[in-house]
Amino acid sequence: MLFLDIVHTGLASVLLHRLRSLVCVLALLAILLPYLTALGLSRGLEAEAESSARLGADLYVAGNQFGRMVPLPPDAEARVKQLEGVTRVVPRVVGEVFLGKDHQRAVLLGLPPSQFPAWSSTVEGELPRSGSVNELVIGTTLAQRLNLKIGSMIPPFYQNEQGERLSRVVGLFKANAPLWQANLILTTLDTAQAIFAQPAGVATDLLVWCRPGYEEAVARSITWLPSLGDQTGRGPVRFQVTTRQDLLVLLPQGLMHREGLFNLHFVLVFIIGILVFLVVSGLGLGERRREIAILKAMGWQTDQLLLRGVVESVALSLMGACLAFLLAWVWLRLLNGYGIAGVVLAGVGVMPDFQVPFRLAPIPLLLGFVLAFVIVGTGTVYSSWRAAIAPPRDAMR
Amino acid sequence: MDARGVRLLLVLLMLVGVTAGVLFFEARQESVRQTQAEEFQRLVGGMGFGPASDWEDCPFSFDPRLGGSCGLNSGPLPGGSCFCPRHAESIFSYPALQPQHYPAQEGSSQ
Repeated sequence: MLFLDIVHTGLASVLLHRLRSLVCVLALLAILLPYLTALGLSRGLEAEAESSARLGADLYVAGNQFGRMVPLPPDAEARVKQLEGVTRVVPRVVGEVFLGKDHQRAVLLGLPPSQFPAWSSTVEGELPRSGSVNELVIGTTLAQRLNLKIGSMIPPFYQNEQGERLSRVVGLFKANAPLWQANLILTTLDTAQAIFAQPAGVATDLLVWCRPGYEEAVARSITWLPSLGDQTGRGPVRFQVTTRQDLLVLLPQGLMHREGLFNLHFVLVFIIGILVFLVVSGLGLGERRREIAILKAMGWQTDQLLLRGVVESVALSLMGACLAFLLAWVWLRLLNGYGIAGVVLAGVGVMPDFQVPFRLAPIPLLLGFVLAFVIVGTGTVYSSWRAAIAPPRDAMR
Repeated sequence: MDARGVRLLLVLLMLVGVTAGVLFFEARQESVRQTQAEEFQRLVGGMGFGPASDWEDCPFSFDPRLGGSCGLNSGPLPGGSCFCPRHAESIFSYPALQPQHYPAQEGSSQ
């Protein structure tokens, strides 16, 4: 018997047992679709997190008091600047603010205007400048929820003894920027200090860039600097340094996504995998036994029947894996993660207002196919072997 | 080979072809996405890292640079990380930030 003839009967067998094949492919979709979607989102997020660590500063310096992070007093910048190997120090203010009657949460980031380029492709409109009105660049979710557009005025949403100002939206982050822009407000350092009612010079952290090769030496020098006195007189503030390497080691290595939501998925694989195994090995078994007995009576050998079962399993697994991949792509690319993004990304609604980060790669698809083949193949080949070793006369009963 | 087998074979080949096309399309889109991410990170000096778009309850889920660990994580207890609503179903888990410690110099006034 030719190999192609065996392949042909294996493929025909998929259509011969339609209910079995349909249940099998649907069960594979139930396993693989959540896996590929969640892994795609996770790897997309990982790629953007890597960009965040790689393209940020070499060192992040914050204050530490009572074991907690606290703002740095005004003289911290000058102390760090004078260290050998430091090329640039940028003070930054980051904090949480609430806007609108629904107290919409937002992350406010203030940077010196000198750090801003003349134009940025991630911002529609202008970048903020210092002036009599607070100028803000708003994230996509905030803009949508608060119905803000370029030119919108925001009444004072903070308290400052020296007076509050109106704020004007001068720019909006574009939807294809990373998800962290969704609830972000970008403004100038002095505006941020005024919003948080802090004196000039206070920063929540310092971004430090170093000469190549000096990162560790500078980090060491900063931690050795004498403690700073805080403005409230409640005790010294120590320097706390986070290096780029500290951040990069947090990224999961390769396909090592084994925690969080993936634990739940492994339970799903286990439960549905058993069901698939039962379906492929049990459903329509009597009919399949008779079919295999007829083939045996026609002169087929056991190994040829097993090969036929393998071809059938490959076809079902391939169909399940490819359909799951294409559905995952439609869900993430065309539907922009409708529903799923709100579940797995905190602070995101059912319909995200930004482009959901995801990365669909060939290796998870290949793994999905292998997993599907192991489950389907085990059930099919086992049941085929049981039927093939029985005498045709008994199997046909 | 009868028509049924051929039809199924064609369907399978079409599925594989479309899947390969999508993979190729996504590989091309990746560079566009990466450029946008890089532009944003250069503008803000590195902001955001985790699976959260705000820092309600857990700044660590937004960016570990803003909070070195999750304040609601009761890790030593079995399932302790689930006490943080941001971590119970996290799609992108990472351990607490552990900055390197540099032994203090003799005579330093730390």
